[in-house]
Amino acid sequence: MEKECQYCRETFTVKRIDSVYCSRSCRQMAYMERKMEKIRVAKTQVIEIGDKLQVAVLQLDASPEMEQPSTDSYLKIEAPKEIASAKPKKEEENYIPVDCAFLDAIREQTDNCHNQEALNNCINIHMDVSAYWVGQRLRCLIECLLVLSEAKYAKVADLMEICNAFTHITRSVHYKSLPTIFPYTDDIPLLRDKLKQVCLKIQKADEIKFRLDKEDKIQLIATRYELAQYISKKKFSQLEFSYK
Amino acid sequence: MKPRNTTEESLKVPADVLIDILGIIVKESLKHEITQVIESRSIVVVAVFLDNGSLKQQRALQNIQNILEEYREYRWSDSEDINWREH
Repeated sequence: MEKECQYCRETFTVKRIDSVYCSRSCRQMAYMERKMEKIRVAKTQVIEIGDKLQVAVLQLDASPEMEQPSTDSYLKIEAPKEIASAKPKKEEENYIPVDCAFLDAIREQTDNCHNQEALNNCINIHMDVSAYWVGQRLRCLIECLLVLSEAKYAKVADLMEICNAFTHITRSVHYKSLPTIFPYTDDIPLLRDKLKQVCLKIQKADEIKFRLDKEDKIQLIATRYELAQYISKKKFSQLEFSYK
Repeated sequence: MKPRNTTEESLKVPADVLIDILGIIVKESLKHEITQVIESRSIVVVAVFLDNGSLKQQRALQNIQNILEEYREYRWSDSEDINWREH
């Protein structure tokens, strides 16, 4: 399927149906452009306010009948009507875009190109089978965790199944032969241990409200996003986790 | 119910960015209505009513849509199946 990049307007083949930009750099450039627009609007407002004040002072200075004003008369000075009436119009036109803290945090994580370079090295340059095998399963399990964390309830048995899948990955030959530059080698046992703790706490329940910490969720979304640039998506039901 | 002289825009807002989006809606005094809560996907559907001819409100809506679009870029994948095994 082909789409037009919303930044460079070039046509590109989409990896994901919801892709908006053709590349990471275009996404970043679009973000920078939005930021610059925000700064530009803020600066324009400051300059406009400064200009209006200057006009007001000049008009007061030029007034021939005006004597040396007393302190009281200063208090009575009103802005020229032109300025007063211009204010609502300016408010109408000037809108300063608001940024989203959650997205800012994800951007911060993904802007560190180290992980993407390492993935590119492992998968595109060295065609490392182990990195692809582990990466594909990690991407899938992250997708599962995100879906379950947004569901109303999650079955404890499902969480245990995912936890076991993480264990299978860490025991696999592929995990043991991962290249040293693979960026998520340590994250897999960490995720498994966190999930294991959750499962042990709520063993007796059938269902729970499974929610991720904000930081964990940001980290998982960023990792999934990075993996998605190099590894195709497969459903949990399509993947074999125990490697024989 | 849609107020007079307004244009309606329906927005699917994920819980992760809900506070930021509602912040914009309240700050800009946009008329709005929560029309649906999709608990199975942590999504709130908000209908926003924009005053016809208000440039500022149009810009606020564009701001909201940019946030949602970027969130979608990072978070959502091709499949929106809530069965995690088939997601």
